[in-house]
Amino acid sequence: MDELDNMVVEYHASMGRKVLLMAIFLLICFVLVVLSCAWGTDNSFGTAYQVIIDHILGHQYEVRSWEWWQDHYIWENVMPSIAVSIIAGVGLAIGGVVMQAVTGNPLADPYTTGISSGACLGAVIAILIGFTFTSAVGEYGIISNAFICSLIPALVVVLISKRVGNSPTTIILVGIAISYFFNGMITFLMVMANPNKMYAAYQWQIGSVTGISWSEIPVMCAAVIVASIISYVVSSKLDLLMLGDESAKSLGLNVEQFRTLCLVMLSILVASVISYTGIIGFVGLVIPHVARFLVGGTSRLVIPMSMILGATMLVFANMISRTITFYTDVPIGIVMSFIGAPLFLYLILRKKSQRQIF
Amino acid sequence: MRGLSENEFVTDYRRGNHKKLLFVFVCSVIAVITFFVSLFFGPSEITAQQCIDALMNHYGTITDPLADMVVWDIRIPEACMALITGVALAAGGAVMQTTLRNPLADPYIMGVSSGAYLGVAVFMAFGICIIPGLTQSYSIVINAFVVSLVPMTVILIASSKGKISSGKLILIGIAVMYVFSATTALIKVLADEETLAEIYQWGVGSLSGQEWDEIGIALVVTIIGTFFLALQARNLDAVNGGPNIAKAVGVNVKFVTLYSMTMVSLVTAGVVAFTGTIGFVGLVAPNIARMFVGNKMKYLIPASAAFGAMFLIIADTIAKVVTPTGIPCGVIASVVGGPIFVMIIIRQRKKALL
Repeated sequence: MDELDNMVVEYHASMGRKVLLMAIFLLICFVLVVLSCAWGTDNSFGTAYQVIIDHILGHQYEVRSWEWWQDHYIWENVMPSIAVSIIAGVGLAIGGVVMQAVTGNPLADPYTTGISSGACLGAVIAILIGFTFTSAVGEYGIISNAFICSLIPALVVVLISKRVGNSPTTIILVGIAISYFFNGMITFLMVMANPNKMYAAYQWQIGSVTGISWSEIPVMCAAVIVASIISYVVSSKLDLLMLGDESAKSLGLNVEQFRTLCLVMLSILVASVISYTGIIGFVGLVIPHVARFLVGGTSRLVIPMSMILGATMLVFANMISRTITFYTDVPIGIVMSFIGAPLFLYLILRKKSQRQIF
Repeated sequence: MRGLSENEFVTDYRRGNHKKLLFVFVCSVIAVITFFVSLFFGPSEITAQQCIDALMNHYGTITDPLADMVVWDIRIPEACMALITGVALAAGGAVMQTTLRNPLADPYIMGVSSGAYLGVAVFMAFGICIIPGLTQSYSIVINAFVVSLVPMTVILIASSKGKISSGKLILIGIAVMYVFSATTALIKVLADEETLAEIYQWGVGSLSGQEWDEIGIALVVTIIGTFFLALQARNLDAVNGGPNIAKAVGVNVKFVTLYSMTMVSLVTAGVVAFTGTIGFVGLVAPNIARMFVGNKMKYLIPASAAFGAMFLIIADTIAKVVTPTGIPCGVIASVVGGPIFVMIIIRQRKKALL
């Protein structure tokens, strides 16, 4: 009995450490949020913190006073982009975790498999041409379009992995080729519609969280929350899936059905993020690996850790993109690929210890 | 084996060679025809008649200065650049694929082009050139060449390190490309304010806005580079056969690899310095050419070059026809090239080579 007790104690201690780690990163994320506000307005950390807290506490200022302007600037200009960064970070990180489990491929994420590009093309079609595949209008029309188009790469990836065998490298190469194709189509459509839209097309393809207002956030936020809850609920099944199809089947999981459901959920999630931000790469690829490194392999821990890390990462990238130059915002995607691409290289090159991937 | 007499065999062989030469010839002819067709399209409002007049009268009395300028200073340089770029990238792609024995290799996807462009960005932003005191056009080519050797080195090191699947090698190239593109974008953004739109133009490659002296440089570099590549055609065939065969026929694999990769960097840098990174030409052209002329470099290099030139000039013409202001032809290239890339992957997979 002693041994068992010891194990329980040890388990609780290790869980405690991991939860503590999450709390620390949550705190870092919060500090970064305040820092972004401070740097964005040339204030000290304390002032920015004060303004944020006052706003949350419902403090009212005299209209058009200095404090009022400060409050207004932070909450109308800086905060929406931070909120979008957090939501997108959470969403894309979950997307990465689910994608990597579903495809059994450590290099898979919505970006490298072309799903983001597909979603983006759908959104661009809805916005530019006003054509939606469903009868939905407005935001929902855009998202539903993005969803339907994101199913194309998802389907291609599934079909090709069936046809030619599920080699991780092949899948990613196909995904990258698909995303080139879709990115080309996006530019093509945007420039056809308006020759001066080259830059806007670029922003869509590199991802940008600026210029978004509070009114656009709820839908995206809701989708991410729902997807987070679902993926947390099915986390044990994701673990089964990562053991490989045969093992998962023998442990009573309907692999095909579960995989399809996951891909559909993933497409909805990615579509609702991408429709607002454009294609932000590397979040879903890198974050799950870092999370797994920090808290180990079980999805029950990896999912919340990834959510926190994803948010932290994008808030950080957003802060960099706002402050690196004083006259313009560098699109967040450039910052992300700067951080993400070397890690991508590392992931390809590293020697696999647990499972032979290539 | 078919029972052929020696004479029959020779005739058969010659007939095969004629077919291969015919492919090169047909592609070249189409490229030249498209070259002239493309002169009639473009952003400026000029009628076909004006175009023809401007073409005819350039060395006589210029009757219509505007049309003359549009045709001779905008459209012909652009079309020339399309042909040169096509030749350079396709020949480079063909050699890369043979040397690495990987049908997915291409200067763009392996990061060589983005490396070259980083060199250009460094010069444009900071005025730093490896060899100081040259004029701008030369400086950017030199810079592009030197920096493009970095991704090339990464790829060579990766490919020489024991067992590495060809798919993985391409992924390494793609990752390198991401790193270099991001660095270029960052440098440009830091350097001056209104360039974000330009970065994109570069990223997908644009043939417009070429000066005549730039075309001269690109042309000379391309001719020299492809000539030196063609000299190695036989040795490259041996390398393509695998290290054992190469050794058996007395070819120094290391030397041939280094030599040809340096030349590929050179031709890539020569065009990328002026056009930005145009993708997929170096991938698509050799793969299609191979279907017609086979693996022999003696035919594959010219066939790829001819097909590449044809491919890019057609892409550029389409880009000018479908949109009033023209989209970068790199966009067309990636819309066409993406699916072809997927096709090649699937074919490779079936042969269990990836």
